[in-house]
Amino acid sequence: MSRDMFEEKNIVPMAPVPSEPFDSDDYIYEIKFDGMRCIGYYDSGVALRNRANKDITALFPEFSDIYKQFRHKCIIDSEIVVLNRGKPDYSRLNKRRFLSNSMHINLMSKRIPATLVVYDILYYKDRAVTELPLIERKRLLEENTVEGGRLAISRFVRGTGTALFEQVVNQELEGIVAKKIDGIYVQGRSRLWLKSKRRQDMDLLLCGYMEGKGFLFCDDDLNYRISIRNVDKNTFDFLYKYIIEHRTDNSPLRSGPMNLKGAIWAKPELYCVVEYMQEMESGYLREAVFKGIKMD
Amino acid sequence: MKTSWKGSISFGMVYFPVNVYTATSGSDGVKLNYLHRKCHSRIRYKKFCEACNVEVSQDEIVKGYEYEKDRYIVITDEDFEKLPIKSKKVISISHFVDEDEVDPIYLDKAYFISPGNFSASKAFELFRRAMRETGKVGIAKITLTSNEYVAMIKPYDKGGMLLYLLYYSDEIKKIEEITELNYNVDIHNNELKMAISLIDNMTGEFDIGQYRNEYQDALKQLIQSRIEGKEVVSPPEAQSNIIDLMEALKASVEAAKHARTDSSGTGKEKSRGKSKGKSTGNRIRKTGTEGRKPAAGENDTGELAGVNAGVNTSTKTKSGGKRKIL
Repeated sequence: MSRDMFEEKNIVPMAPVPSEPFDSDDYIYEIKFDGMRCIGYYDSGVALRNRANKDITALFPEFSDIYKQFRHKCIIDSEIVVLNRGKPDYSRLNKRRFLSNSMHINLMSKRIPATLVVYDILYYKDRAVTELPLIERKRLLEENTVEGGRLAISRFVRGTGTALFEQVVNQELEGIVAKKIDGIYVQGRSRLWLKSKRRQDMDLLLCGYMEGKGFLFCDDDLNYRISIRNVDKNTFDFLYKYIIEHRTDNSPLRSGPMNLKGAIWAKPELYCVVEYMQEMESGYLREAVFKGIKMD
Repeated sequence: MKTSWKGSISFGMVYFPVNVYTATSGSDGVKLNYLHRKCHSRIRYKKFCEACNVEVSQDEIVKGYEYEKDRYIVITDEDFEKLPIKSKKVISISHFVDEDEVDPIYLDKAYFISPGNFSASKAFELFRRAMRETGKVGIAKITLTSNEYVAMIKPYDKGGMLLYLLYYSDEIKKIEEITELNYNVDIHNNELKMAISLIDNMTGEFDIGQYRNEYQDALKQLIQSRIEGKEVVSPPEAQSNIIDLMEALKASVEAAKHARTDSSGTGKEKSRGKSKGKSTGNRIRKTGTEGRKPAAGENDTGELAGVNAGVNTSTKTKSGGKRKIL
């Protein structure tokens, strides 16, 4: 027999398409958590891959025994989150994702341990189950999983997307995902899954730094969009170093406010993901937060 | 892997782009900081000018060369820029030599080299294979940021090529200066035979993987246990369980849903349902446990309560039911 999806380990996680929240009994609704996507391969061990199929097993020693919580060999789709007062905290997760020193990883895995929220099963015992309808996969997932410890099964509701979204907004969580109840598991982007986020993403180019204002970002047309000051130390060091290494004498901006004199400019080549609450008519992004370097 | 830098390899008529990666990660060793014994704060180094009696910032510092005691020639950035640097970002191979001609003492830091882009792969592999067949390695000059190096380039058995920065000959100390080596002894043939058989007895295969830095391991162990010991005094923030959050949201959404369907009759009931849904949400935000209670009163939430009970056992909650969701 040829190598199956468990051995190959090159799954492209299913990705939702943006949508407004809605109500339909053809869909179940789940909380979208602000974390790191994780496809986990579990048999008598653990192999974890992120969205880009990078091996992240060594980053999360707290999951090294988690295969014992799955009754049979399986591939599980999930989100890795790090909690802060009961809610996923992306900046805390960021403290975990860039570590390379094994002792530091061990230490942080104890100080701010991650939680694995599982929500789909792609492989069960000896075969792929991606062609099963979602609701059957959910049932299989529940049967196969022993919840507890660092492992949680994602809860879902049927039909009431707008109400869940309202709750999610109240709780300041990332958003919801609507999933077609009879949908198969598709690798990559699919309309069978629809996401509604409380906040929006935008890809912007890092173009400079200014004391007091923070990092400066522009869009593809080189129009100034936003400055972001509040980033953690690792991110700061990385972005600042990038700017110094790609420094240019003149502003690359085509348009922007006058008060950016004294900024250090950089060639606008590094795409970053900036999350924001609302885009104002002026182009200003309300409550913008730096989310990370765009990987793909 | 993150590239250290991008450049090109050139020799004769050949020229192709390459990426260079550091091949060694340094040590995974423990980094310790200096602290003030009294208060355990970090010791910082300050840059200080004794003549002016002030602390100076980075942009007040220039480089100088001491050509005689206390006399300096200042060298500015512009001066540096004027220096002739031919091989910037180019690994220019001047000639090839047999690999065993290069004494390992000259090897400094190792780098991996890969083709700089897809179309360079052929030239790269051709060059790599040719070196392999001939057993030759390339000797090249490179300039990195502020210094010029000699380097050796050789094919790597596991794919790609290796680049070693080499020490210049004047950077290698002279072994002749070690006087204990000026000895005179006689060795008998039997003695030599015995020594050789000793070595033969202990000959094995080279496997670097079987060696561990036991000192570092022990140091890590020590630090780890200190931290864990310390955490008893100042525990990390209590991890409330994400299951609680999901259950609470689910329960409140379903409570609202039931309230809506139950109350589709009279307007009075409907308004009651609405306010109920809303207040559930509010309560969840504040108290959690109490917030779920009204939901548990709804007809189909007994199951949820059951799951919650299961969760409670796995969550380290303090008694008294004051567990917080948020």
